[in-house]
Amino acid sequence: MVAAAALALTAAACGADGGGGESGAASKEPLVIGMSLPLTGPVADRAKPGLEGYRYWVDEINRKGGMLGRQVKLKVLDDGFDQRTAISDYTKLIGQDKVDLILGTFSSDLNLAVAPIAERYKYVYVEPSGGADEIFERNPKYLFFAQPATTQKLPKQFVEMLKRAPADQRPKTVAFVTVDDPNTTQLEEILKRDLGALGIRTVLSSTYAQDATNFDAIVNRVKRANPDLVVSGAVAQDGINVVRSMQKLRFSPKMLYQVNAPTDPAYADGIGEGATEGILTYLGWSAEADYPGNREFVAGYRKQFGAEPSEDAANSYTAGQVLAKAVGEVGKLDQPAIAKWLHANTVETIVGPLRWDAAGRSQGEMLLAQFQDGKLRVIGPPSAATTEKVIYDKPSW
Amino acid sequence: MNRAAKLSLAALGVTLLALVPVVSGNIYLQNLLIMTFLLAVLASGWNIIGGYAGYISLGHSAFIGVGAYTAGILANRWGVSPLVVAPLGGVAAALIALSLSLVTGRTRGAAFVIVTFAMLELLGLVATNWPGLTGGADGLVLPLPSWSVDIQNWPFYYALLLLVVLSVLMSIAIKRSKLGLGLVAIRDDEDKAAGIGVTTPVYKAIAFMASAVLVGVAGSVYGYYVSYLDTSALFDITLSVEVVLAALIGGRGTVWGPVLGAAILQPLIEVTNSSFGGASAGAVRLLLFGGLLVAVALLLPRGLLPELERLARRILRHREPSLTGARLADRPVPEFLRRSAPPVAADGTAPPSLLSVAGVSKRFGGVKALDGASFSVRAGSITALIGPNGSGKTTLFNVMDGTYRASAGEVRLAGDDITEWSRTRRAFAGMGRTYQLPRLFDSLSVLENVAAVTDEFRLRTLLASAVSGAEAERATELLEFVGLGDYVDARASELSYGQRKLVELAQVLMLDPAVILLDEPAAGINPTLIRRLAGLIRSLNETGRTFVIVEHDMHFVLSLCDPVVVLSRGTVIADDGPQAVSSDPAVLEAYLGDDFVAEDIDAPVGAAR
Repeated sequence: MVAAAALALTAAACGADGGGGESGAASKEPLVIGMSLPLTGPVADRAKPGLEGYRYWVDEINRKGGMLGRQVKLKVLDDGFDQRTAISDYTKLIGQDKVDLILGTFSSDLNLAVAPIAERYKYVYVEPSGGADEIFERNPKYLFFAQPATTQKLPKQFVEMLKRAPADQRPKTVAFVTVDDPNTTQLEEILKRDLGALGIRTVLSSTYAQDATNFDAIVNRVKRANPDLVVSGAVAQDGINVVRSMQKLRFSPKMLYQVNAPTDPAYADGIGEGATEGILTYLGWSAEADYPGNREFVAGYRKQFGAEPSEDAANSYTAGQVLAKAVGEVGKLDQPAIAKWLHANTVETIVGPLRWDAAGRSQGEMLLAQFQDGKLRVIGPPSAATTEKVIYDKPSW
Repeated sequence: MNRAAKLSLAALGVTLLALVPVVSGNIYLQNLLIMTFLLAVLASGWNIIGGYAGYISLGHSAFIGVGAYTAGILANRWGVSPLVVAPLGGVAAALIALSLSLVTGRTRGAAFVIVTFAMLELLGLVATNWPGLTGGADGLVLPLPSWSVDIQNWPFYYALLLLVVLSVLMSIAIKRSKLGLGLVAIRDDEDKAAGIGVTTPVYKAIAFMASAVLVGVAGSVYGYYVSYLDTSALFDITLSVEVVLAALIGGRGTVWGPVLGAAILQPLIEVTNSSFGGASAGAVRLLLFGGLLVAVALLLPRGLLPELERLARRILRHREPSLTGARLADRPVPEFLRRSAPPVAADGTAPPSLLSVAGVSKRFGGVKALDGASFSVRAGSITALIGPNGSGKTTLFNVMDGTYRASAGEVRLAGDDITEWSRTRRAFAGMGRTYQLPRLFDSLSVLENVAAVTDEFRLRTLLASAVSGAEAERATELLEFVGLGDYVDARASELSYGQRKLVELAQVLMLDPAVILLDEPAAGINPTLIRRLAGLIRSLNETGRTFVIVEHDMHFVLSLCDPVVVLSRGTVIADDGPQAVSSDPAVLEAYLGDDFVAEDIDAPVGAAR
């Protein structure tokens, strides 16, 4: 114990002397941006494109002369999707490595754990993921969400579309099939309220556990309730299984709104190529959207990584855009000033113009998309729509 | 190293650690030490059941979760700081541990490991599926620390440092107590422990609670540190495995081993986390820690501290004279054994029956080991139980002392029907027993082997020191009486076979028993020791103690015992004086053989060899 304590003290003394990361715009030292991503573990598949989005952004910004005249370097740690590691990684980046800036990690779980550290040590924290309401509940001043909208506003365009729908095409009844997750349970509450206001009656509301694999029992109940609209609050693979179960039990609702799962590249394979037609979902970002810089991002990313950018890649690119813009405007690495600037201004990004409320909730809107001829087309808002056609009566599978 | 030196070194270490946050403002270092303290508290707690009692838990981090959620929920409801309600997190963890000990009453070994893992998973599931209480899958958000940023993480740091100190103090106190000796006895030989008055369910329940309580408090502090409680992170197997690894590296069953292990492991985890990047980092980490576990198991099976201690002992040993072969000194019967001796019937009337079996049968599947055996043992007698191999003598002992439940029949002790009593209850009622092959607790010293014995259940005795004070004095006196006064500090594993028999006799005497069952006491020991043993039995018998002896050495039996009970095929075929039995045709045919001559009965025991 004595040895350990002595060692710790020595290290402490070194740490105290070796600090002083902030050196202003004059320095030619590279500007270091730290982050810890779940590169291994259960969400590794999503974090990898997320990291590539960051990499693409850094290469791009360095080509254009860097940030504050300094080249930008990423310091990336891996937290294996473990909260303890994520906390200690960000503490290390801030306290030990004294990085100049930090950027956010993936998933609500990790961001919930990391955001308080950034808040406590006054580091601007732009997160590419983590829209659950709890994150913003503590009124953080340094947190900024880089997707267009938090869960609160996620289904807005879907509701708008129903409002626009001709009266005879509008569903009369709805059933909810929701996984027990912060995002989806909130989504169900919001939609119940908004659809109720449109006169759409909830005939069934069922929740399943995150590790559920068989949905026949739930789908059987849905089939008996026979709603016009099914809202499937899924997180990933479970969404595919819900649809497969419906196909197996020969129940095809007139309208299906499903979240998260339809943007999975394996979705069409999972439920069958032809079965996607008419399915509705939201998009945080679309490769086709006509926002400034989006086409360049899609083309450049494709060239650099040889693959289509995923939404996660787009989100981390957006987070980088937001941070770079604010730092450039402020002109120095002054965290409170950067945060203040972001609270007061709007940033043009590849997911559209972003601005934030006092707790860092983005005030933009998610896109509404529909599978048409095997491709996801943006149908709302009308200003961003890539097609005017809307399928109200989904062909049955 | 003596105690004062150890103490001042530990105090110096704590002082240095307490200075770290003041001297340095490095929050990463603070975080590293906070995580190390957390692991140290966990490993120390784990060590009490995993190290002392030998019950390996693979779900110990569940108590972190229980503590964190308890404090988090209460803090949110009552609007107070989670640090204020942290002790309640400890209480909740102790209660969960208590119920675990009740559920696992008869679960040992690998089955216990699985049960603890199941507990971890189950608690995680409950927390996930009870959103009204825990926030379910949404998790539970705690308020951010209200103190100034200048104070950094000091409250967490000092709270956890204090918990490490408390954990170590508790480990020391338990190790020195009768409870601690009992736990090690349970680890080495749980059935034997039950027979020397170790109330195993109670010992285990206390140990489980002790192992969880500080972990629960630490969990409360940690939960606040993270400020967001999530079931998948708090009821995670990884931390539980790290705990086991930390304790194994440092040395399980030692006081400082788990702390040392945590101080090695946590920095290693940090280094690997921050130095391995990229997609294969997880695999590299798994290989590293898997390899570490294998290396520890192969090279340091007992951990760092015990291996170092063994090395030190080996170096010191060269200067000490070997103990085996030292002369055994004669001593009179200790005072407390004389004083508490039951009265001997002196008026010539037949003394009452102290112990009796009536119609006892015992089946093992199709085999009938005992078939209606009946006999009674008079108070103050030395009764022999003889018979051919496989006749059921040891089985009968096992039925009498409660190791087995009789399939039929009853056992009575001093008038009470004890057929259904547990072994420990029989030990408290005054029944002691030795084994054919002496069963000692090899990880304890000779003195501790004897001091672990308890003759009645008292919480105060349980928690008081057993290696000093009255209990230790009593044990020393008994060891001197059986002739092992020079061996009190030796390891039980270093003794010769005969010496082990004597230690086991001292253990039995520590129970202050009315009746002592000896299973082949004279087998495999030298004639001198046989004479000595016979002398001890005689002098103890003079204090009124009753003996039942299973023995094949007929000279020993016939010179010492009266009456002699003969068992054959699970039934009593003779029960009479030694002379009568040795000429009984049935006995000669069943056991002694036609050519048996009982001429030298009166010769001194052992002299005929």
